[in-house]
Parts: sequence; structure tokens; C-alpha cells
Amino acid sequence: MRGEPTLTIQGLHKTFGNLVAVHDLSLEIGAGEALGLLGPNGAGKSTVIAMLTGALTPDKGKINLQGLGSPVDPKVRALIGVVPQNLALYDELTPEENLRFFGRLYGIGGKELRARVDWCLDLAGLSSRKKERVGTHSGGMKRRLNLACGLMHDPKILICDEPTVGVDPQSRNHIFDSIERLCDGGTTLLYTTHYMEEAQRLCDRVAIMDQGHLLAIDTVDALVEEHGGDSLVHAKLKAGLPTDHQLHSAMQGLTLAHRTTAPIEAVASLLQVQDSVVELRIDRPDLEQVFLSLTGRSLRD
Amino acid sequence: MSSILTLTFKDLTLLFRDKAGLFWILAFPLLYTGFFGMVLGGAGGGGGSSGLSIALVDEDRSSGSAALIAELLANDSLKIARQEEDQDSPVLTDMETARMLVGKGKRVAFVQIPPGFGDHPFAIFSGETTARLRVGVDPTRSAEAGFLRGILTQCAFKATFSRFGDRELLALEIKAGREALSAQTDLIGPQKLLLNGLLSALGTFVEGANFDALGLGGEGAGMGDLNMMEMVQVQPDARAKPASAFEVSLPQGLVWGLMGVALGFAVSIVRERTQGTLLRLRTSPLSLFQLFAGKALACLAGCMLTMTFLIGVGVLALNVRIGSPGLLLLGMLATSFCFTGIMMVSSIMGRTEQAVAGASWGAMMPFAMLGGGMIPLVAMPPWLVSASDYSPFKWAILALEGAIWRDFALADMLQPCLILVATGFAFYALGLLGYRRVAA
Ligand SMILES: Nc1ncnc2c1ncn2[C@@H]1O[C@H](COP(=O)(O)OP(=O)(O)OP(=O)(O)O)[C@@H](O)[C@H]1O
Ligand SMILES: [Mg+2]
Repeated sequence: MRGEPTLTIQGLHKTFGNLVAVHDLSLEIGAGEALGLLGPNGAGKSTVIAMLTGALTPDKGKINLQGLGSPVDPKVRALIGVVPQNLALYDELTPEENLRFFGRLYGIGGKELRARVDWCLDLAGLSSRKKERVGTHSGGMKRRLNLACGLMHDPKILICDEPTVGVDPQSRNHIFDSIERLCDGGTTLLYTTHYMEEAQRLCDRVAIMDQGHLLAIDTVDALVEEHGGDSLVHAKLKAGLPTDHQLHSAMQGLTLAHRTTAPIEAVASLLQVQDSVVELRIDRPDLEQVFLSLTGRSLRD
Repeated sequence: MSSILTLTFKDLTLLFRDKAGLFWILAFPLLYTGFFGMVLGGAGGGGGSSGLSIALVDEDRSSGSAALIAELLANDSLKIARQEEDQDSPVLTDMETARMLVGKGKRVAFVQIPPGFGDHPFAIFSGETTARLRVGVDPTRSAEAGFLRGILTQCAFKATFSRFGDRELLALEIKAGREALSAQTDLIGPQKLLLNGLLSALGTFVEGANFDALGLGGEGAGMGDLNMMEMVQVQPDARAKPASAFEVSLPQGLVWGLMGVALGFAVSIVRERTQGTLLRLRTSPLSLFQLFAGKALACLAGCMLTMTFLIGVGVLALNVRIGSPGLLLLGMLATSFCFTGIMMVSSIMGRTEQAVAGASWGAMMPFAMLGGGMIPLVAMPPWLVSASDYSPFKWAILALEGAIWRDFALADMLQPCLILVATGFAFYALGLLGYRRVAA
């Protein structure tokens, strides 16, 4: 955590009938921090967000934003910008009209409104198509606009619910760069995803959720350190290793897949026979493995 | 308030950009109004499919006028109703009554046979003013005026030549004409000469003519309208009857349009939820109350705009007359209020757009039928009219008709308007309560 907590959640709990969607969740996000909320389908990520934004009332628990109280208060809600998982746009309006509408809801008007709309169109890369109805736009463009609509009022806290779902790598990078710039500008970020590489790249800390439970929360490195397990050393050789070589037993034909806590040593020993090495790679443990070891399941199944 | 207006403006924009929705809101009501107005056949009181109803005034009471009346009575395209109290005489009424009947919209037109009409059988063709038929057509039925003139011309021809089909009679008539002419003192010399010459020529012609070859004994076709009649103005009276069927079908068309608006907004509430914009709205600083106030205001404004457009078309294109614009505004507001409530209730009738649209149409149709959306209230049997009290559509139609043609006073308007507003409130509250359940 970077500074004073901007967002504090204590004992948050929500059930739908018999289903516990969120179970006794507590966490803090510091000012300017980027927290990733990682979990498979149905983990409860969107439910957490709905409660944080005031759209859903928790059964139990407290939410406090910037020490001002819960999002039940409209003033508190005005601090938050939200990028919902489902495209929350009016297809019959143009991007410009969508942005203007959402801006006005926050009391923005006149020159400021025009300036914000232009800024957001630029961020979404939609300036040239601002007069075409959203219904005619591609999925990627809608995703970018969906992000921009959450930024119209220049929120202190940005909450993104899988903002890159279903877009091509180009749009995805565009969205990513935009969010990174905002984080650099000091915006506090809560980012849910089931793409671990997104969380790894963007977030200072990552919280891992499954079936409503918070399993772990820490920096990526610390999580990998603690739960990631061994690195994988992978090699292809021209000829077999000498029988006295320490990795001889790990060979399968001419390929090597060796799990170890000391990958550098293994590589060094391979380089003794470097003439016969065709390919060499170290796979560090990542969040995927963290998730696997925490839940016994893969993140995307 | 400004955020509520922002919501309202957005919703109206969406409503009028939805082409499929626009069909039900604007096109269908217009088609309905036009089609049923035509099927119901023009005149509200006097009109039927069996012919143009006219009032006939015989001030001549000569054999000439009798011949014309006989032709008119024999004509299938005309319906000449008798005076109730004048059972045995087919001839009909005095000028005052005739004007009143047309003014109230009970007859399409009156035809006045002036004194002296039968004296000069050819006067009807010469355009001599005293002898011309006088025809007054209901201004709302001006489309039928041309048709009526054609029929009258045809009947007048037949009457004339049935009377003078006998050559001797005709020759006598011409002789009498000459004598009358020479007795005339107020004609100057050249006029007398001209007329004398004409009558001589006619006399010669009659003696040797073959009437059948001229075809005059037939339909009188091809002779055109020989300026034989004079059209006179009829002022519409205070009336408690619709002047045309369009005044009956327009309020019906209006409620169908309002159903379209209410349904459009009901579906839009569900759509906000399913497409996620509701989440964004609820995340904004707006309260739930403001969100629904925005929807309600948009629905109200949508109803008013739709009605204004439809009534505008009715007035400009279908000749609908508005009895009282002020009361109409009152009726429109109350009706819009009611349909805003209906919108709110409709929105909780399902979880998906299709479910809401289906369930709302299903629930509204019987009420719309019962309330006079299909069979007009004026055409309903009394028991059905009292049953229709349970349909808000009846009160909506009544409030609109009241201001358009029923001649309602403010006091008469209060009952339907209060019922509409109360229904609107009740439905709105019901919808809000139900919303919590559906949206949970
Ligand atoms: N309104 C609701 N009514 C009933 N159950 C719900 C509701 N919203 C969510 N749930 C259930 O709560 C659980 C958590 O759902 P949630 O949408 O929060 O998951 P998620 O982590 O966002 O998943 P995904 O990655 O698929 O978006 C799911 O089992 C879901 O079916
Ligand atoms: Mg989700």
C-alpha cells in the first residue's frame, strides 16, 4: 500500500438466496495504489464492485471511501468512476452524446463539459467517429468508450470490471495504456480480471478471490514467492547428457523439463555442455501457478 | 432538477430514435385513425354506408319540385330521412331545421328548392339566381360536396325531362315562355330579342327533335354541372356529436399511440438494467428517486409530444375540429399521467425486454378493447359502456373526446381527469414497489 487508505472494506458479505457471492471480505487500497482483483468466473468480483459503487446493498460489512463514508452517500459515489463489465452505453446515441449525458449527471456543464468530452474521445481514440451511433461501432471501440464514460468526471478512484474482455490486442493495449497513464497521474485503481498477465503488468498488489472468498492479497512478487513454487527450466539438446551430469535423470529423450528452486544453477550446469544446447528457457512461476496452488484449479477452466 | 431533465432529454432522444418503436407510436395510430375513420364512414350522426344523408327543403311545392324530389328519393346514393313528427310526408323540413341538422353534423347537407323552381323548368340550366337549388354542405364533409353536386345535377336532369318528355307539353311551355317574355317590362330590347330568339329556336328544335338520340332521357351524363345550384355556407353548431368519424377514431388512435409510448419506456427501463446502463446511473450521484422521476417525466413528455403530433395531423389532414383547446390540454395531461403509471407497472411485468413487451401488450389489450380502443364508446351497447368504467382507456378516450367533440364543460372533464390521475398515481406506486422485487 502506497499511502493512507483510500478505500477500506470490512467484513463485506453478500448472499443471493443460498449462494454466498461474497464471504466476509476485508481489504484496503491505498491512495494512488493499483489493486488487481483476480478470480475465475463467479468468484464474486462484480458483486464486490456493485457494492463498492452503491448499486448493491451488502448484507453485512462496511465500506469507507476516503474517510467520507459509504457509497450510499451521493457525494461519495461522485468520487468513483466505474467501468462496468457489461458495456453500459446507449447504442442509439453517439459517443459524444453518451459522454455528454454521463458528464451532465455529475453536474458538469458548459466549457468544462466540452473539454472533458474531447479529452475522453481522444483517450478512447474515437474523435473521428464521435458523431456515429455507438450501435454501429465495433466491440473494441465500444470497450474503449465504456472506459471513457467512467472517466468523464475525472474520478479519484477508478473501478474497472474486466475492461478488456473480448477485444483485439490493439484495443487492449490502447485501454491498457490509458489506464497506466491514469495510474501514473495518481488515480487509485481497482481492476478485476481473469487475465493474470494484466494484473501482473498493471497492479501494485493483487487480491485473489475464489467462490466469494479472498484467498490471498499481496504484491505479485510476494505471492509468487510464497505460493508460486518452483521455476521450470526447459531445454532442447543435440545429444544426450553425460550420465554423470546432475540433470541426466531429468532428460526425456533430447528435451529437458526440470522443476527447481534454483534455476540459475541448473542453467549454469547445462552451459558446461553448451555445444549441444539448441534451446534454453526458464519459466518463472506466475500468478497462474499461484492460483493453481491456492485453489487446486486453473484460473481459466 | 437539472439531472432529472438530463435523464428526460436522453430518454426522449432514445424514444424517437427507435424506428420500430416509432411505428407503434406514430404510424400505427395514424393508420388506425385514418382507416377506422374511413370504415366508420364519415358522418358521425347522419352517416352510414347506405348513402349521403341530406335534409330536403321544398319551398316551391310545385309539380317541378315534386318531380325533383321523386328523383332524389329514388336515388340510391342519397338517404333522405323524414322528420320524426312528419311520418307520412317524405318531404321534409323547413330551412331552420335543415340548417340545424347540418350544423350539428346529423346530415351531410341540405338541399333547398326555392320558390319558383318549378315555374321555369329550364331555369335550372340557365343559372337564373332565384330558381337555383341552394345546397349547404357540412364543412367537415366538403370532400363529399362534389359527389353530391353530381347526384343533384343528374336528378335535376331526369326530373326536368321526365316532366317535359312529352313534346306537346314542352311546346306549350315554350309558348308560355314567349308570352311571359313579351310581358316582361324590366328587360331591355336586346335581351328580349336574344331570349325570344332562343325560345323560338328551342321551339323549332323541340318539334323536330329526337330526344332519345340526344340521350337526355338517360343519365344526364356528359352535361356537366350547369351551374344549376348555389353552394351556401353552413356554420357548424355547438354539437355534442362528432362531426366526422375521424373525431371518433382520433382519440382511439391516440390511446394506441400512448400505449406505444408507455411500452417503449417500460422496455427502456428493463433495457437499462440488462444492458448495464442502470449500473452506471446508480453509480452516479443520482438517487433512485431521481432516476424514476426522470423516467416518469420523459414518459409524460413523450405522451404529450406524441399526442400533439397526432392531433396536429388530425386537425390539418382529417379536418378534426377541437371543441376546446384548453380542456384538451387538461385531458392530454391527465391521460399522459395515467399512461406514465401504466409504463411503470408494465416495466415490472418481466425481467427481459421481450417478457415485458409481451406481458404488457397482453395485459393492456383487453383493457384497451373494453375501454373503447377498438369499438368506439359511441357505438357500444349501454351494458358494455358501464363495464368499460373499469378500463383506464375509457376515461382517457372520454377525456379526449370530451374536449374534442363532446362539448364537455370543465366540470364534466373533472371526473375522467381525476380518475386518470389517480390511476396514474396508483400504478406508479405499484410499479415502484414491484421494482424493488424485480431488480433485486
Ligand atoms: N443478481 C444476482 N442474483 C443472483 N445471483 C447472483 C446475482 N449476481 C451475481 N450472482 C451470483 O453471484 C456469484 C458471483 O457473481 P459475480 O458476477 O460477482 O462473479 P464474477 O467474479 O464477476 O464473475 P465473472 O468473471 O464471470 O464476471 C455468481 O455465482 C453469480 O451467479
Ligand atoms: Mg464479473
